[in-house]
Amino acid sequence: MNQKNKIIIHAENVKKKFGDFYALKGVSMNVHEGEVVVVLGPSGSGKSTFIRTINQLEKHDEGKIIVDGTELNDDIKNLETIRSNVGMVFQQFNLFPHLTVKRNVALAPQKVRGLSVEEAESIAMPLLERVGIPEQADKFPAQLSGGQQQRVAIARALAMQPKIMLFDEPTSALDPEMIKEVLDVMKELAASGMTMIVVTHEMGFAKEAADRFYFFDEGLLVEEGTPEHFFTNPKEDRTKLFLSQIL
Amino acid sequence: MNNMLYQSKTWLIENLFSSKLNIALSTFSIIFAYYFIASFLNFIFISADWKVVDVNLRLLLLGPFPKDAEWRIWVSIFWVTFMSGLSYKHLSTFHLKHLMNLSPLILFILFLIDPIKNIIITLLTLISFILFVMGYNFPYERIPKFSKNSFILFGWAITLPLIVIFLKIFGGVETTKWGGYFLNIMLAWVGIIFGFIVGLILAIGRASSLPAIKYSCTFYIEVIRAAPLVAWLFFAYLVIPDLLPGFFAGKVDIALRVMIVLSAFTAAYIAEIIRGGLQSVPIGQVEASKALGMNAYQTTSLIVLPQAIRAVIPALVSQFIALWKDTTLILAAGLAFRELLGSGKSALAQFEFIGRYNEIYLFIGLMFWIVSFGMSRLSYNFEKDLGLNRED
Ligand SMILES: Nc1ncnc2c1ncn2[C@@H]1O[C@H](COP(=O)(O)OP(=O)(O)OP(=O)(O)O)[C@@H](O)[C@H]1O
Ligand SMILES: [Mg+2]
Repeated sequence: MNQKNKIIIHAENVKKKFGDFYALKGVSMNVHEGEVVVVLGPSGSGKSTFIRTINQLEKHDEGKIIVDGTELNDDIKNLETIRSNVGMVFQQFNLFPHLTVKRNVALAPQKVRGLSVEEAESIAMPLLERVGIPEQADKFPAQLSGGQQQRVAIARALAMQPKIMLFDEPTSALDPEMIKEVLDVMKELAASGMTMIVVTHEMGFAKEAADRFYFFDEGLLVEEGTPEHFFTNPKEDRTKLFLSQIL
Repeated sequence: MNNMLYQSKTWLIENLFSSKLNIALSTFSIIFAYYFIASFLNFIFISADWKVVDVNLRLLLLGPFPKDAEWRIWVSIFWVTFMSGLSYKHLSTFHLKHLMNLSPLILFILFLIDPIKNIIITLLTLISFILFVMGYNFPYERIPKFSKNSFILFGWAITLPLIVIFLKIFGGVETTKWGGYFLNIMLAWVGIIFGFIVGLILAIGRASSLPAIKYSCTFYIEVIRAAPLVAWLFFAYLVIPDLLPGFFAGKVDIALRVMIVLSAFTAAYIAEIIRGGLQSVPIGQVEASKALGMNAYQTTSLIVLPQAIRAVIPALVSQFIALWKDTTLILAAGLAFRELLGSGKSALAQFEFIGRYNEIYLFIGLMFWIVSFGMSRLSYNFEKDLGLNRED
């Protein structure tokens, strides 16, 4: 929230190429603890690629990324520890279809943190209550609606007690009537002080929950600022064009 | 009752006699089925002489297995029936009353083999059935420390080694003395277990990013699949002894060589089946697992493999059934080795029974069918338990 909080994500001139194509052409960003950041931009602008470098699902080719005091580079020994501090929610939910909802949430605490089955499940149940679906605990993901699945995915990420949550278009695969239930969970999470980076086109959510906006285009960070700045007087023509299309 | 009669009548009319073409087809099929079944039953109960099976029962089931060691096999059967009872209760879709469906089969076997004359076999079979029921009612929830899943898995994991040791230990039976139906079962069992384990390793190896591992796995799979099983069995019989370093010479008997070949052969096919399963798991699953902080081993063993294997259970079971029937091919690995089909052929060579091949082959076919069908039902129940089967 306020700029006095310490910087938890520091990205400096981050570049990423796929073959000869630069998906990120040098992106720099500082995210403070407790801040909620919304990333905007047209399709193919590198939004997903950027947030995926933060938990190293994509390795960056150049530049520097520091997450919670640890620099992400080839020497890094316990990538798993870093990853377990950064939760991620995907557009396609990616729940584990062969496990029940409760097992989906309890699995990582059990296997990564080394908790017993009972301890892990005693973490899982309150989280399922927090996202509003404790009664679905023993069902399999395929038996749930899209909105419920995405809420399980959020609970699953929270079970590792991460310091940062990444959301990559969490509502894009949902039917309109289910979007709200997921956004409500995200708003509650934002209000609780979680550091969040959210790629989304849901401007209602962005306006209400975000502290800062970042606008990407063609692998570059084109403009950043407060929500108010973006809604009232964006500077760049590309930003204006984009906002006029989605608002 | 009346209602039921009425319903079956409407069903018949709707499904079998609804149009001229349907009437013609149905009539033809019914006549054909009648003659087929009638002549089949006529053969089984009237014109067949089952003495050839009765007299050669021991040869067919056990081959040259020494008579005074038979109790070792019975103890093994007891253990297996006990474990089966234990596990069947665990398959929620299974119920003890389903065993009733086996009654025609049991009656037929009783018809073939006089239960009074073979009173000992009858009694021992009854004991195995009792052990099945005991396993079914076993109070494993009273055993602390083990969950019932791991209890059953552990039980099955030690079963094969236990049986092999038990058959050989304390002046037991040489593997070269194994024979008949028992030999088919042991070979298939070893082949399935080791074929699956090695196949799994090969499939994971083939997906590896390290070129040395990846290409050696691919090489192995391609080489094995390039030749038929019979050729590999000849290889086991004739070539392997010459290739082995002096130290092993004479220690690796023909039974062991055949087991190695069957496992190695099956492994190559299993590997390709599992590779197909691995490809069917979306990349998002791996990403979600990694994003939670799980390492490569955890991601593979907890997320990718369970999904990959579930996706290919039907193909795996087909491969196991194929292996089961391919155990008859070991005839290629030397005549000293007689499994069920080979034993059947020697029975047919007996002067008294020349020409009784209908009876022998029908019996052999039935024996193979029992296990094949059993495996297919087992996997069907298993799939249903995993919630995979939406057929009904
Ligand atoms: N694995 C990959 N291999 C090759 N090119 C890729 C890969 N992943 C992304 N790209 C390319 O990188 C560019 C940026 O992709 P990215 O997915 O980050 O865009 P995005 O801003 O998230 O778009 P969208 O709104 O469609 O999700 C695109 O041109 C895309 O085609
Ligand atoms: Mg994207």
